[in-house]
Amino acid sequence: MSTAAEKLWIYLMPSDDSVSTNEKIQLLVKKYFSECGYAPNRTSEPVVIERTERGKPYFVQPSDLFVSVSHSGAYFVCALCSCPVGVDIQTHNLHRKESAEERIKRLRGIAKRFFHPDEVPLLEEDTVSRFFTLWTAKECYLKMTGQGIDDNFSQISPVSLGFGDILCQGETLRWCALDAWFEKRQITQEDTLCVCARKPFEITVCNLI
Amino acid sequence: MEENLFQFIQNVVFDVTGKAGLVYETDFVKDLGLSSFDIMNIVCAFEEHFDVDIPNRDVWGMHQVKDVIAYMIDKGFTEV
Repeated sequence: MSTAAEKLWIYLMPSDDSVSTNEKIQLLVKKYFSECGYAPNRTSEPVVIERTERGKPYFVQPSDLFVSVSHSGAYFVCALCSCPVGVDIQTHNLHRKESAEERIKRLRGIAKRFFHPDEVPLLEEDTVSRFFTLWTAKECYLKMTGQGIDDNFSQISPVSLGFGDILCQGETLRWCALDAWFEKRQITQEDTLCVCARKPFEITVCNLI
Repeated sequence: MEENLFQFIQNVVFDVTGKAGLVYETDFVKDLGLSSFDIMNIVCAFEEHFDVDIPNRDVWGMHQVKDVIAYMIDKGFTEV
């Protein structure tokens, strides 16, 4: 990892609808400045959040900080970084009336519908784990670019050649693709998180649950 | 017909996400808190039922239940 790696902080919070997303982000920005060693006056700076047409949040102020959020199941996740960033978390929850085998079949069907053709064969083994690795990787990349999910979703493959080897490396994976740096982590056995940024990064995860 | 379509949508959303209490103005993301993955699962359930492909650009243009009903009527997806 480059010695000039960007600081990327991931905050995990309960998925609490009583607090708005913007309120959560504002709170976490102050924590970020406090915990990352910035000058003390930065924690009292106003935080102004806007959204693009596609709903991507960004800071009008502080202008040197980038944000991405995600929620799934019990988790709300906020990524803060000094360069463009995207984060996605996904719970592997079983649907009602669905067995484990039916879930595998459903996920392979979704992959054939929405994934890049090169990614579909990778799901023949370890389907659930690999599916959510690929899903969260694609989502966090599209969040970073602000593109959102559109007709190009299936054309984007945020993996370099030989992703099969990368998938086998364990619960924490790091790789580069599409001019971005990725890291995937298992928060729990049933919750996959992936984050990407435009520059190499050192990640810190703060679990506030 | 709209009531039948509304009931169909309610059933699909509940089967996929466990979420209930929909009304015509329910926003899938803002009110139900659905993720992109939830929405894709709902889309696949619709596509499987009607044996059609729904373009992603159409999916992301439907924010509320009533948008889905209008889309289904416009595309002739009414045999529920």
